[in-house]
Amino acid sequence: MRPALWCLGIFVFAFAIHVILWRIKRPIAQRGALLRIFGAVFLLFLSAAAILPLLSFWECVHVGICYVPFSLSYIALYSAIEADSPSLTMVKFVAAAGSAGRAREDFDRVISDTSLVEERLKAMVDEGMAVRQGNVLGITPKGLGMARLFSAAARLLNLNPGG
Amino acid sequence: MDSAQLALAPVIAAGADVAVHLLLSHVLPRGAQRKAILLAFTVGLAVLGYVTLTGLQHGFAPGDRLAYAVLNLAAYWGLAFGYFTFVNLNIASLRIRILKELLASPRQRLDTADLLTRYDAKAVLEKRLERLVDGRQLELRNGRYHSGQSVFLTLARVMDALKWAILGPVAVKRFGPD
Repeated sequence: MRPALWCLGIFVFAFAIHVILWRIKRPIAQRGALLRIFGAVFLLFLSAAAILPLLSFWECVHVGICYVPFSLSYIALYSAIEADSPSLTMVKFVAAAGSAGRAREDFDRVISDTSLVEERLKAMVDEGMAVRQGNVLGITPKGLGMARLFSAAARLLNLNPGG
Repeated sequence: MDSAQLALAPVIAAGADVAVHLLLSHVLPRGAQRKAILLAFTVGLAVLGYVTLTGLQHGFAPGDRLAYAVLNLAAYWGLAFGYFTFVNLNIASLRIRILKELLASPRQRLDTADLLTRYDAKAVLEKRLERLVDGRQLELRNGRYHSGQSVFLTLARVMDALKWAILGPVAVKRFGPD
């Protein structure tokens, strides 16, 4: 029971800090800030567990095995909170029409001409993945690492390119 | 030993999920990613059930058994979702696609005007609509799009609730019937 309660407790604590900070002022590199918040809370928990007899070694491991992937999943999911996902926007747009449905041309009103790509280019620059000089987009070492990782995974998983 | 087995059960299950998915990615046709992910997740879930239940056989009160089962289920879900997100980013993320294009381009630079032309809203929209209809989230009847299965719509509502809580009410996009 104790690992479950600790896992829930520290996740809620980290989430509450994130909501409070975001309501005060949203950071520019949001996912980096989220990683630091969720990471700091976990380190705080580990420090407390090392000093106080809160949990046994394996119970601490158990908390970590639940907390870390949950936090990382939330951070991955955050991109759909930060920027509107086109697919989810389209599904909502169709649902709002009720039984009348939507014609193909109606979607042009909700997906604007350049915002989709522009928003993503801006996010890439904000996250330190790319640099933009005028009309030229370059890649940073961080972006290069990500590109190599995903290219290798695509080959390993036999995937089609997306977008 | 039981504590170690219980703690490591979600990791063992996630390992099975990834291994089965890797295998299925090469066995099933390229377009069957959804099926591969679902099958691999189910195998991982069965492994999780077996390892968790054998670890809970001795010396646990009923309340503790339930708490450990829920914790392991949540941990496995977190790990499996993380893996799914990673795979899905490779399939659907425009950002990852642009990064991969940058990697493959001469001098690792791209013209943004060219990118805006190639990934214009129309092309992205067509691709997404096609994917939503294929995935039965939308239905195309008599040239009009209607709501299909409710998975994406539920997800959109959850996202809106999170957006409202974290970013404030202004961040939530609302649509009328027209």
